[in-house]
Amino acid sequence: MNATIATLLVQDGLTSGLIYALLAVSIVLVFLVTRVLWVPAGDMVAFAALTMSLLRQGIAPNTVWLLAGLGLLAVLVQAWRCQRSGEWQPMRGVLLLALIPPVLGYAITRSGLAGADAPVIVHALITLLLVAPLAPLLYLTAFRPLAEASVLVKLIAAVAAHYMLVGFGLFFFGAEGLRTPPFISGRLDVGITTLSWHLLLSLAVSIAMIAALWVFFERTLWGKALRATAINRFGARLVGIRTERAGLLAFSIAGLIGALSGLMIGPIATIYYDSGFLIGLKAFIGVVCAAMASFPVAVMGALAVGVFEAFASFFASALKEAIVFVLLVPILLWRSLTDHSLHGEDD
Amino acid sequence: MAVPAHRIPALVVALLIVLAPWMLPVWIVTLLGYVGLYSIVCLGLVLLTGMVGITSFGQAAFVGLGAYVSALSIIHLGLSPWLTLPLSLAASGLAGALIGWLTIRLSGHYLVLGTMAWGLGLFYLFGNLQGLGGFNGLSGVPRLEAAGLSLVEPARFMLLVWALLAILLAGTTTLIDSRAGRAIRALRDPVMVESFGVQSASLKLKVFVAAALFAGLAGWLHAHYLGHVSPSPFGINASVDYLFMAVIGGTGSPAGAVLGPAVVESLRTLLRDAVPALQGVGGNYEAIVFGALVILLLQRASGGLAPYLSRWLPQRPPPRAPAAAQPLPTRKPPSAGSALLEVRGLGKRFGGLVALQGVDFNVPAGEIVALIGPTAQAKARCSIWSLVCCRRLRARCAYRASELTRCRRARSLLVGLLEPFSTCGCAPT
Repeated sequence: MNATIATLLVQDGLTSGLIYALLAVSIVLVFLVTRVLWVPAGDMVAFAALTMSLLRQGIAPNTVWLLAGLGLLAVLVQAWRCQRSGEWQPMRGVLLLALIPPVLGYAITRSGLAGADAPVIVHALITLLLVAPLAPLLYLTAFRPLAEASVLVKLIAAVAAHYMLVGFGLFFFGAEGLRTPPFISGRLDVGITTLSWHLLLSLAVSIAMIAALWVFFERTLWGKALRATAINRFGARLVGIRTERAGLLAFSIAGLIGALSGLMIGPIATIYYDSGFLIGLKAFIGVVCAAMASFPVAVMGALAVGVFEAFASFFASALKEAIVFVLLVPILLWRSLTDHSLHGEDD
Repeated sequence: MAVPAHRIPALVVALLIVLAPWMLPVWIVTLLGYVGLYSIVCLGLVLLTGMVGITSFGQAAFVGLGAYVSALSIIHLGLSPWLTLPLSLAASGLAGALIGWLTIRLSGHYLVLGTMAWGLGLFYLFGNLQGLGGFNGLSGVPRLEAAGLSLVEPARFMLLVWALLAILLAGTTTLIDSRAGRAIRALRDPVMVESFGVQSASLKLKVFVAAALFAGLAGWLHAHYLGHVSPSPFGINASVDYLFMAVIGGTGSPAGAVLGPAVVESLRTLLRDAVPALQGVGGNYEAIVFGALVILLLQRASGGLAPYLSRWLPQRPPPRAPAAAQPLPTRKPPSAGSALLEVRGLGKRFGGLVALQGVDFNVPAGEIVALIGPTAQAKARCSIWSLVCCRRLRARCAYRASELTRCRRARSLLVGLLEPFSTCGCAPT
């Protein structure tokens, strides 16, 4: 181990850490607004990475059928709800969400507009179109009916949703791992070390995403409504915020973040249909650092997990995963010792 | 002797199980053996999830621990399989106690993440530690024998598993109906049970260890039935499988722990055999079907399938309270005027807001002491803070001249202090 290797390891760690950080942000957001522990966050990443990889090879991904099926289910669930309440106004939004992405995705991927020679950005946009809506559709079908259930029940439902997605992943992508060719290859020489272009690109995308989220939460009415729901669900309803719609919005943002992270992880790791779980769990370590509440701490924690993982894989590659997860335990302990509100003794 | 009506279904199931090896083909008997094995693990989860309201995504790791400890002690120490049973149980119980002690104080989702982390950590240890055979595992674990009969013959193994399961089911049912069982079922609300004098943390830990012991027993059976131990049946997916079985069966009653594995295993067999057309496509249909089933059950019937079944079966008579109970021992009241409660230097801040600062007061025996002040919350909470968390607030509190050091609700109740409650809340819409 010398300084050169260390800087390279730090770079590797930051590149994956950025992905964990973005996911951690989406997990915290979803948890604060809906109290759902967003276990399938990692699956969004795997789906996006694999879809992108197929598109780059000029193969039309079958994810569009999952999107269509889930959309149909969401429409049915919504129709049933509307039938019961007698109010058909919310139907329009659900129809738009459920119909446009699969139809558009099907049209573009099957018409040959996005063959292997299409520009990267087109493939990236199609991937976002095909993967990001999965999260809000999952909310409509799986989590909204559980809005009043306990955190534990929602957690089991989230794990079940993750399980289903992994099953579908094997169905759509097969057991083979796929890797996306880098968007920009090569490294930038900055004197003391060389920085990979991919790290710089990931950094730019992450910063842009986090800045956009900041503007959204600080400057827009919808963002403020989301924050209000996160702070107090009941209070938010009293002042006229539709918390279910806030939940849908949170899931939409989470889907978008997940799909973006998937685009970023494709070129740095071989992704399998079931890689999502471990990626998501590493993001969870960052989330736990932040006590499920603070966005900046979650980002820092997730970056630290990335760097830690890079060094762990250098020193003990066989035990890499074990080390990363056993890391979670001291953090959990530290949280339980410092955060008294957790065990209900104090106010 | 008349059999109570509510016992008949269990007896019929037991009779069918005993007769099964003579009536059913071998593959169903083998399947029944596995159902029994999974039921033992699920019974632990019913205690944990259904009764205490905490859940574990690491249960398969305890199964693995039981299996590995038995396999290793046979290979290295040459013990007989029956002698390794106490070792397996001790290992899983100790691991459960240690892991539980470290993680049990976490609340809901942290606890779940903690068990997940332990489960994954142990899984990777099984796969990577020297001397455990890596991901290929250890072969040549001796099979179970008793009186010269091999117990791995499917019918005998099935009967052994179900006999053990029957004992555990009877024990669990008795436990749930006992005084300790009522305390366990009330643990979902720690403030409430502590106010009744139950030491919630240690009781939770005991249940966690019990669940780990059940899992360790299943692991021991698993190792000696298959004669082979490898990490893959003890990974996170297996833990999730166990939890799904328990949720599908219903975590509200021990019957759910048997019903869940039975339903899941039959469905799995049906899916494997009856949908051969889908096999070639190479999807993981079990995961999709079970995931969907769990979500649907959570949405429509969070009690699982067991309540649907028990609706058609004879109900057990409601428990009757004894006509007369032993009177509780009375404490000797302190002499009037002696110091009862002394509080020194109680203070509490909420961020920048100082609710209380430097509060000293004495409550002598036989007197009523009133607290006057401007903020309602601080006054109402003052007594709770001094009784329950005085140490954390660095206040000194003494009750009948003995310092309150280990400030816990249950403890203060045991020395004779009752915590006041004032709660207000809006009814949820």
